[in-house]
Amino acid sequence: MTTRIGIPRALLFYRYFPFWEAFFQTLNFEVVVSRPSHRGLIEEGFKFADDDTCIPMKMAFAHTINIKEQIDFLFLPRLLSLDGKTCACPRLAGLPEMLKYSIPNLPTILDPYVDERHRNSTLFQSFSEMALTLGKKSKGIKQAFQEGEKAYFHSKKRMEKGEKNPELFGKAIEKDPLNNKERLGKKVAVVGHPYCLYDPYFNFDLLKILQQSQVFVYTQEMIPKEVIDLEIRGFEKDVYWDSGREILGASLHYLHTTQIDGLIYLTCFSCGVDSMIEPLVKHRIEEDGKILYLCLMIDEHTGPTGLLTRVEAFLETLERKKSGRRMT
Amino acid sequence: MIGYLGIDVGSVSTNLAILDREGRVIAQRYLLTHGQPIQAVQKGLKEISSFLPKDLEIRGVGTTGSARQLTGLLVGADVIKNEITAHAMAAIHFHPDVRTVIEIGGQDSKIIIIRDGLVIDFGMNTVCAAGTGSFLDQQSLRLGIPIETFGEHALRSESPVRIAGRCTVFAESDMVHKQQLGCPIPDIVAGLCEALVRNYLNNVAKGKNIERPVLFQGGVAANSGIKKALEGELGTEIHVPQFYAVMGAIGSALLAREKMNGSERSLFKGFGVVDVNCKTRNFICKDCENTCEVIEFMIEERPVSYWGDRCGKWEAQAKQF
Amino acid sequence: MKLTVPYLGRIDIFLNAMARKIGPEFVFPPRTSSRTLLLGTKYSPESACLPFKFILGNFIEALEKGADTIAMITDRGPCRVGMYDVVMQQILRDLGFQFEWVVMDDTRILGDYLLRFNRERKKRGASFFESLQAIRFSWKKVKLCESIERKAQKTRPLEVKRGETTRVLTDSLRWIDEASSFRELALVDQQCTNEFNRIEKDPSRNPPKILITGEAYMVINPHANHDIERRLGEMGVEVTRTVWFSSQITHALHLDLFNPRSKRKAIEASQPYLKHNLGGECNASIGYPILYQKDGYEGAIQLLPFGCMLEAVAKNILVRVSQEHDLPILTFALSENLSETMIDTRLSAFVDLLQKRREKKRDR
Repeated sequence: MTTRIGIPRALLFYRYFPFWEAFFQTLNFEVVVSRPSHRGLIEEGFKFADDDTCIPMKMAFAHTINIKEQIDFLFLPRLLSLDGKTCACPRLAGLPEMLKYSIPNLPTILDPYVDERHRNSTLFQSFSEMALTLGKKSKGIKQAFQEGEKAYFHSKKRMEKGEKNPELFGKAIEKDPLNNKERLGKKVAVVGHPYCLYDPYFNFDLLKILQQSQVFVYTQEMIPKEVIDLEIRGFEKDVYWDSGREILGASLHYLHTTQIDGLIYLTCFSCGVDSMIEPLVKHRIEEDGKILYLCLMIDEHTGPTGLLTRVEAFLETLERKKSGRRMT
Repeated sequence: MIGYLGIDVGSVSTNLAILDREGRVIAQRYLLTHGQPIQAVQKGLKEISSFLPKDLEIRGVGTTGSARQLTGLLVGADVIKNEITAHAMAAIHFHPDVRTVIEIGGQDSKIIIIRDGLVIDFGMNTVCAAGTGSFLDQQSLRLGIPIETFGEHALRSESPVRIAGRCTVFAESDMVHKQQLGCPIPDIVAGLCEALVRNYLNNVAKGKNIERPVLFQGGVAANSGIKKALEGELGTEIHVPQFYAVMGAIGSALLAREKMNGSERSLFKGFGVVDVNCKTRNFICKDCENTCEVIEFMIEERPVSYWGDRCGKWEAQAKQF
Repeated sequence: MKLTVPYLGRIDIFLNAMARKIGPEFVFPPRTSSRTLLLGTKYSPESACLPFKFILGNFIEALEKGADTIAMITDRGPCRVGMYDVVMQQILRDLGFQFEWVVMDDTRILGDYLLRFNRERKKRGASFFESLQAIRFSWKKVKLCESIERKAQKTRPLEVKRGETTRVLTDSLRWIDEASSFRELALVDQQCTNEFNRIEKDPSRNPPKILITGEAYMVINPHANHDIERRLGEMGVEVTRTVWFSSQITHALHLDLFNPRSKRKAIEASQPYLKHNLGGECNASIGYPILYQKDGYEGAIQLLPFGCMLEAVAKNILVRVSQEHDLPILTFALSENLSETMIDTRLSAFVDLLQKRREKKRDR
């Protein structure tokens, strides 16, 4: 019987799943992912999560509970630094312990520690060590790693071309590759952490709502890393958070190249990274004055109507601006 | 005579307005929703229709408010828009150079920032009722002072007491404390007004760029004590428009006028809808593990619309009708 | 240059001593008050953490008082502190203040600071030797402050007249601040000892010992933690805390190898519970209670700002530590909304709990 590796559909799943899936499948493991978020799953899981933590972390709790009975190992990588320069939100690195001490009867946790800032904790090394403990051989591991990289870069390229979330990630959204953008009147960039943007339960299907309102949605994944690096180099500080850096860099790029009409910053209550990055994005955009800005902060009490009203008002102004129909 | 109808159906109040072609208000109604939006709309339409000239032809209808979709289906709306757009539209209509709209309602409050005839920023209260009218309603009950007289009490105060607390609960205990110390009622009422304004500015309006001219509208705008407290905090004159309580309806009517632009093909079903039999029913959809609670809206026993389903399949069904 | 820095315990005493000998001129805002917090909350982003709001308020008040340079030691993650400089500068400049912000994170090397320090001292005409003496003097003052604070922590639960210890503490700190030479400082040392001895104590009391740990700013600043040390002391509890000005410096300079209760040791002690060092005080907050329990501490209080990225992880894990070590741990997630009564209620309930546990143990 194949060993089952469980991956909760939360947090960095929304960025790196293609890598993990290819890696484990090449090594002949069965990859089990939790169901897409739904009310029962969330309500069940939130009971175990600590009150003071952010919603994405709570969703990790919920999704872990959803699969823990059906797997042999629980995969919770600690991806502290993947590029040797920036670092991730520290909560992500503490997740395995937080889960272990709150949820009973968890299967064995696989938590490779990846910190490319140090020689003996590179991605390859940590994943290899993990695979070795699972009884795999070096040659196979090397091949699996290559397959993982291939899958990851493939998905990255698709997102760079404008695909919002390749089918892997849950509910498929109607693809609107770049050549659609002229047909659609309004161009809006939506920035934020991947787990906020691509979990339709969390954001009430915001991306779909936008697309249905004739909006072409730009994301930060559509900008190559080199361009983001360039923008940050021109910024007054070298932001050290990987996600924050990406969000800020993408926002600055969209601002400078003014291909968009508006920018929505999608965040959640109690996000440390966003609490510092959002004011910076907001300031630059408002100072410039040409792009319309909206910050959508989702917390546990947010309902779909409140969100919809805000988005509608935002799009209304975009419409009027484009058509010159001011409210006079 | 050509007219445009606007209906704003909120959780606390429902308001209606009819404008003529030039945008002048020829009729308006304000009533409480009492948790039954359909009945409120029908009642409002019935009442307002009795004031109208016989030859009035409604060439456009707009709806807004939290029940805008429902109302739009009921009456046959040409334009269904959110409250922020509607309120901004009305504000600009009466004060073309307005830059800030402060709206404090019974349970919702908003702030709308307008530049060059466009809404560029806005804020809404999210979870908390601090900074909304309900804060005052509760205290008026406690003090035994009708809410309509709050304003005149507050204006008589020469030194408002400082009532602390972000939250109604904390504020109330502070207020009781001051009462027990013998502070005069006008000072307490004025203190409450200032507390509400502080909460509003710290909550709904936080971080917003407030510039004059400032318009103050919504049900609470009648309260001169609040107006004074706002002027004190912001250091600028506050204007209360003549039709402060029905701005949402006026805005919707204006939006309808803008869209229809004189054309005759309005979707309005006529004032006869006051007698139409409407029903709302809810059920749990068991088709997947989301177990959404789906609301079904029926007119004359025929299902007309559905809401509440995450996957949208019930909503899609409604579009076929 | 009129320099201001954030409050960190009695850093003002340290820097005032330096300033009087070799400069630069330090401008400290008035002691943190409700106005500070009001200003800070008003102009901070809503989701900013509490230390951000306090520090911003302090900076505004210092700039109002005439400061023209701001310096703050930060780091490059993983928590928000490293981003304070960009966000605060944005806010302060929008408010119309003019100032220079001296960046002090590890992108700059120690050499840069020494060079700048050297330039400043030359400007004031102080020799290299005088500078070293000044640093020695200021450091001595800080150490004396801290020993007085520790004395107060031990004395307060025993005091007969409520508030006497606090009075003596306040006087002592003022005398230390005013001393302008080594000799004067030695006299002040003696004076403080005498005053403390004069406090009427009831030696028959056997106060329980509670450790205060958690996020650095919250632990070390009484204005941020609602003066928790005084409150607990007056409830008859002996406290100690895990964050001191001097220990933060020695840990940063890797000079705390031999201290059995150092941050280094605390991080080691947290290993079984948190495999990796996440940064900040996170691991230390987990390890310190374990260490201090060995010294007879019967309970611990974790202080953190609401939403703290790091301490939230520690908070979760401390529940397990508390269970496995049979050590009661109370957590306070502080925000600007927390009222006095809420704090007192929870503290006295916690102290009661510890008393009951003692009685139970005695009865066995």
